[in-house]
Amino acid sequence: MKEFDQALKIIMSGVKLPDYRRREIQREIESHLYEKMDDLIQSGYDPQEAKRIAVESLGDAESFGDEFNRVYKEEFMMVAVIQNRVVIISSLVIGIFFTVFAIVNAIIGLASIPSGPTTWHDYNGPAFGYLMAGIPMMVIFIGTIYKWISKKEKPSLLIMFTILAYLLAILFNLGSTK
Amino acid sequence: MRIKTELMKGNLPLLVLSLLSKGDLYGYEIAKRIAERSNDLINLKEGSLYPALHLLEKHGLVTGYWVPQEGKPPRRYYNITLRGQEELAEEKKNWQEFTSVVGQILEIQV
Repeated sequence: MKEFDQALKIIMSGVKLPDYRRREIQREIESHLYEKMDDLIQSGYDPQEAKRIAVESLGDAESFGDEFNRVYKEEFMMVAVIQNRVVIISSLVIGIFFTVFAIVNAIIGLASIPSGPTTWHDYNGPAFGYLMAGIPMMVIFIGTIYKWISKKEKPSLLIMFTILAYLLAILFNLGSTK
Repeated sequence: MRIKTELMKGNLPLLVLSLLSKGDLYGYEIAKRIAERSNDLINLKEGSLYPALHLLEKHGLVTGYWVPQEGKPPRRYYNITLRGQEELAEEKKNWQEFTSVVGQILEIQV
């Protein structure tokens, strides 16, 4: 399956769509390349030449990407927004702010219980909820930033949705906090 | 003589639907059939076939499904839907009218 890895990387470079869509397209194109190469080899071409012709017959990567981006333009727009640096940074900054807010709130809440938390009811209050939401989210944020900076992996759709969901949960929860 | 790519692109969905109306096919097979049936006059950039297939699928005119292959990557076959068949009949009619009109005009000019 490594035969066309490099070529597929180039061909797929212009396809700016969600990962699941990219994977599906890539699988189909990979199949096409194998079929074409097999046919050419059977017609007498040597494997290297057959591989080159198979890749070239797909046309240029730019128009291939453009055409697919046009077909799935709604998904393309969504990816363009989500992968926008300003959107990512703002989401992370706001997310981290609320995460820290949640943890601080949790600490204040737990500290305000006179003899410390002793019963399940003490744990089951908003302070405990903030703590349970804040700590995992902090881990996710740190992991996301680390991957983004060190491995150049842009925050995934899942992370972005998690951040959004978390933000909404915090905002809805603010009203109920004493 | 080769048929111009721009002219080809606009009519590619019609050709694809027509081929699929005879039976399910996968992308590479469609490209091969188009080349064979046109005696290589239509030699499309094969990369443009896939966006066209996905657009047809998005519009509900065809459906795709994967078929595993032994020792090779799976093939994605396409099947024409009822809506696709209706669209094909309509487009065929339009095409006949269009070619007939163009033919008449060209005869006048000749």
